[in-house]
Amino acid sequence: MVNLTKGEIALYDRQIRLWGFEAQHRIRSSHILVINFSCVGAEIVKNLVLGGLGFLTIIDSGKILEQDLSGNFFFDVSLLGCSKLDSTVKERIQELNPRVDIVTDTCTWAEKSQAWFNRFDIIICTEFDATQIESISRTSRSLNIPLYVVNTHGLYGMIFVDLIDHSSHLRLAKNRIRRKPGRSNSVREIVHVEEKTENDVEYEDCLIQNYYTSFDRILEKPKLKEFFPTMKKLNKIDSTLIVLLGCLKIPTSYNYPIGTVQVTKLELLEFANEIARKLGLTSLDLNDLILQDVARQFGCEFQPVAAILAGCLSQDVINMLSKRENPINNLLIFNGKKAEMPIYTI
Amino acid sequence: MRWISNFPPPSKTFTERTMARDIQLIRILGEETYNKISNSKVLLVGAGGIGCELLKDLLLMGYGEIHVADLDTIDLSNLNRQFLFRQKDIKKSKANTAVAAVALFKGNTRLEPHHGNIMDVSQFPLSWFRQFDIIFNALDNLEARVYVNRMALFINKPLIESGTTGLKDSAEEFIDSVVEKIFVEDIVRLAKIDTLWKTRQKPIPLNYELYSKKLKELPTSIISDDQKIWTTEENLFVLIDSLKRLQARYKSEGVLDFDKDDKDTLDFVVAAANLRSFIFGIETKSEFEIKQIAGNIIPAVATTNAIFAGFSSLQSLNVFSDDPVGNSRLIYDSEYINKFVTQCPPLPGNSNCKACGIQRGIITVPSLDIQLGEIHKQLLKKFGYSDDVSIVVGNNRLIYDYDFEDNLISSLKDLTIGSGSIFFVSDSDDDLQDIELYLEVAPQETDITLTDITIKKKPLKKKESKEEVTIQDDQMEEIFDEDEILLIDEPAEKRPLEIEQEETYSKRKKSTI
Repeated sequence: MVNLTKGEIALYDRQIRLWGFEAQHRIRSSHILVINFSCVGAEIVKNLVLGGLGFLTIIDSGKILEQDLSGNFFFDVSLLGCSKLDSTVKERIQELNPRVDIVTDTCTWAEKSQAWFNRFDIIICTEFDATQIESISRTSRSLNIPLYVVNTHGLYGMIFVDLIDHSSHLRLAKNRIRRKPGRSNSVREIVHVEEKTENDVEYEDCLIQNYYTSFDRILEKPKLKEFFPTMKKLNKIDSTLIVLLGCLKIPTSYNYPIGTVQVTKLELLEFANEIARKLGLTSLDLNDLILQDVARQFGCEFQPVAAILAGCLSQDVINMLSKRENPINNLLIFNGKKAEMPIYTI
Repeated sequence: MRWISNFPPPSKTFTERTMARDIQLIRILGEETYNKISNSKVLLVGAGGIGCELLKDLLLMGYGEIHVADLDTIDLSNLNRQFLFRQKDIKKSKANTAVAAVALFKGNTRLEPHHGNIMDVSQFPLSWFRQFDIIFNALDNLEARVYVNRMALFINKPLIESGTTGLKDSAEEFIDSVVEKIFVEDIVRLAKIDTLWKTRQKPIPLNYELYSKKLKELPTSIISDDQKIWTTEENLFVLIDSLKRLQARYKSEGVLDFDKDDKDTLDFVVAAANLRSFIFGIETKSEFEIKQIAGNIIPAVATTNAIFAGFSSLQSLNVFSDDPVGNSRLIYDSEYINKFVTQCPPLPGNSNCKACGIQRGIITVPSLDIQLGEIHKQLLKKFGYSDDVSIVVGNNRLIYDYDFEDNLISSLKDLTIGSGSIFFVSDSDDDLQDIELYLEVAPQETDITLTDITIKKKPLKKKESKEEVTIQDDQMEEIFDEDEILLIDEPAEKRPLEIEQEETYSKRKKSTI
């Protein structure tokens, strides 16, 4: 039996019932880094701290602006102009769960050494642009650390995941034909299948291996065609995908007053077209409304969207740590207007 | 593109400050929707897992006024997800604590907590619900959910429903088969009925003598090991020990109810359940697991609550759009690898549905001295029913039908019908649709008034095929039911009519299983 204290079991009762003692123990032993205490960053922090994470480091060099008061529930008007990770803010995070070891850092993440990053089991970046993702991804890849990136633009957002390679157990209802080990596609493989019975229910315990593409290579050899083999299927892809990937080419506006941020539909169109060319999606109908929406809402943080994306990301992190379920591989796109959340492998 | 990182000049007026704070909201929503939201008053029913999340989301979206209603108090096991609550808040009101906790970041929103049961008509009459523009359900039980849904239908207000659930399935049959405390004699008797064991494993009565000898050697520490699957003698040990504890408490406290957080009652149920399982060849479970089944605990985590509260608040934006219903979506957790959620447009109403298949209205009376006969007369006159209608109050109390006219001369007061009672009128000829009427008392009125609606014709039903149940099956079912139903509490006093009605209802239910 894994050693969780009586107090921990009582506190985490409702979630242990979902993912088991062993997973809870793994969560408690992990150290996660969250870069940028944005609206979505704060939501992730809340979820992980409540979930009973062992060690958490948050890094953000920004100051609290007036606009942040409608996007981060750890801030209040008395903290205007203070550091986003002011000691008061840290206390408020800690109050959520006194058992978590929390470190806040107000330095610039880009100035940190490789050795500094080496202590983390997972790196989570929020509101990053392409240049920043490339930079952090070089570090995470060379240190073999799983990486999550989440960006939001008003009602739209995305999560990019690079777990390098990852194995997990999947519990599947018994099939008429027994599942066999083997490659399902270029990023996923069934390594082992075992038939099990629990409470008179038969199921197959599948050990799955997921392989990931590093960020700098996703546009080089896109895998979309493997999953959308015909033109008809390719053309059904929602153009939010290319618009949001296009956004990555625009420098992040995080920690800047939104009043000074202006992105035109035209410049976004240019970047989106470039992505479409690289992904082989040139015949895709680029939805003008989405372009217009995303250009206007570029860099805007919106609480419900942050809550949804942070919830998905945190859930995936917990699954990843507990080696359960199939993790996101590798791009989740969120369209809040249509309430859609497709996951693509690119 | 280069963003300028200087601070805006210190803003002075209230409006300027609000604008600086909400600049992102205005960009996302547009000025018109933003203004509508900041002038909206909404009701949040439930301040639990989803409720806490929703309250935070709605506040940061800039809703003008939020009322939070919850009857519950805070428990330790809530703290892993109900992030507005702390250890020091345990046992306090959820509604009050949640509202106090968000004061910090509430901006210009007006907040009002209500500690109470949303189904309590004296605290929350229908007229109270009328003040809200949107109602958000964040409840953990079906009964209250259905009730709030009905209220929203009575007054035609948008309702946004959300809920999460974990592993509930396998639970019920198990608990039904276990709450039985005689492990030897009854089993011997049951084992004799051969027809029962044709397709089932025959139960083995507990060898009480054998096990009871071993009991003295067991350490009492076993009782606190809730993750271990106890052996038969350990279960017997816990059973006897918990019975002693319960007996002592009964002397001072009187009748004790089962509560999953009451260790004495839980021990008893776990041990009894396991012994019974042992007898019937069912897999035994640890106390930790049985607590989930017997206490109907639903696993809950912060992330799922956050995701679905997020969707719920996001869906509320549709209320302010050109086509609120058309734009709304039902959103579910997805099991597919290529999407995180699945969604679909709202489904059309079902004419057999208790909620959407009937019409609704409000009946207003000047006082409760009005006789039922008066109401009956008005119903026929206004809605065009034939004389052959039945009127049921509340869940299943029949107060009038063709053969039961005794109550017509009684006043509503004498029939203990009051403001907030709900009449269900159905046409025994199956010609016109049924109607549900919410009773309001308005002393300023002089007459009975009924909502202006035209009752539609009932759609023709296909003839249902008769259930094919063989006599043998029926008998077996009854033998089982006899054992299992015994423990259900019956209210002491009942009118003969109600009993009759309930009996036919439960019979019908059984035959459809």
